[in-house]
Amino acid sequence: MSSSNEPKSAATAIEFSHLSRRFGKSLVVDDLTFSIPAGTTCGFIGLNGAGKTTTIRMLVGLLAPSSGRTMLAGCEMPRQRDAAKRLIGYVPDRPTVYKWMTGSQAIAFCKSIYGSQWNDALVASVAKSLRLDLDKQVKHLSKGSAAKLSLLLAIGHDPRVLILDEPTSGFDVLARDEFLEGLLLVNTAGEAQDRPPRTVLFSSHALGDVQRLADSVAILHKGKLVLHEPVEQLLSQTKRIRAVMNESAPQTVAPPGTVHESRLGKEWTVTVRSFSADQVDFIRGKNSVAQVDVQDLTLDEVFRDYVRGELDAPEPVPV
Amino acid sequence: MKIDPDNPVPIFQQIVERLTEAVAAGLYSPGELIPSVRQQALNLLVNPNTVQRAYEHLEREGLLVSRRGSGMAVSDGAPELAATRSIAGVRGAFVQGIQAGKAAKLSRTTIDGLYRKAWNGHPQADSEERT
Repeated sequence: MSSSNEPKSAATAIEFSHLSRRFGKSLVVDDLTFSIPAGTTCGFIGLNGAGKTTTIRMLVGLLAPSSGRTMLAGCEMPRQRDAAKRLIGYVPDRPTVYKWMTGSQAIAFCKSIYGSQWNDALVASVAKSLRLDLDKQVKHLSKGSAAKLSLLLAIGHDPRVLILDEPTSGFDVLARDEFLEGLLLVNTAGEAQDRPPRTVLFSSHALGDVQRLADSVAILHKGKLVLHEPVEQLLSQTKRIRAVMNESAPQTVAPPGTVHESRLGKEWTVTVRSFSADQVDFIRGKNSVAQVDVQDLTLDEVFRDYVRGELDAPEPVPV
Repeated sequence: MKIDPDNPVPIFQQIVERLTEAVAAGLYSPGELIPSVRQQALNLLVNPNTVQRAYEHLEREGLLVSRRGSGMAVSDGAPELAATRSIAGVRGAFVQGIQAGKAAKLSRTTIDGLYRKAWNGHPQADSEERT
């Protein structure tokens, strides 16, 4: 840990270390430890009340942790919050852009906060790519356009890290597409200047968006981290093994690495992590099965099975 | 080119497959530049890192060649390679269909009949049969 007030340069852009937060007797975030490499996009997912927004608020320095720490762009939060402000862009779940302002007025307002750090050329170029009408008042913008304006305002000071809390919540498919395009545009805006992409952490319930945009996915459940893995690795190594039992026998023996299992009559489905043929052999060897097949899963299905597995288990599954 | 985020096939793999099919179908000719990583990411609304990895994979496979300063182009041998890959893909789809038929305890005659029916129901079946 750096003891100086200067942010340390790091290949890790975001780091949570044994982060916990209590509200009264309720432990909302429980010993969270993981890190996000610079230049990558992480999708942060969990059920309502899982602790995502509390975690993000601690990350951006709006809430002090009960214990543990967060590092953001090399700054320890909230201690180095002022230094971090220059390095991060944050779009909260309910962006607060004054509705009576036009887009241009909102830009001028944010520019007055950031001063010389504000990058006029970047803002002009991204606004053009986003096809934003900056003369319109915010209250007259569509949901998608208002979200794109929030993004534009969040990157005007050219931050290296972008934090978004449920950015597409309540959007229809077209507004969501507009927003995804906007996020890709702002995230790659640095690339045109031979800069690596920004680091992005975004929480979402839209798992299709996470599958599209994220390099890695972190699943939070009841304040605890269930997993943090590259999306492709998670999808290629999590499989559902479907077995048809010879009889509706009462007992089944699940293989090592089982995340979740369910039984309906003779059909037994077992979702496993770190899939290998050994798990299929185990099922065949330890159970009386007539037939076994292996299915790929979408991110949505993987998420559901991991969360169901957590709900079933008396103790959290170690990852 | 389209990808489906609700498909269990990882997006990286979908991009590799769609581009291979596009080359096999002649949408891109040898020497022709394919869209840049950024253009493709915006077109598909996916992470540029994923597009980059898919392009690098296709380069290692010999379908694409890197053109210094201008991007990625289709290699001279790409159409032949892509055709071979497409045949393997179609064969794999048939094998899956046969496995599903076997799992449902259908006879080979029934599965053959289903294949013919599917072919007859294909909108381009007649014209393709004549060629």
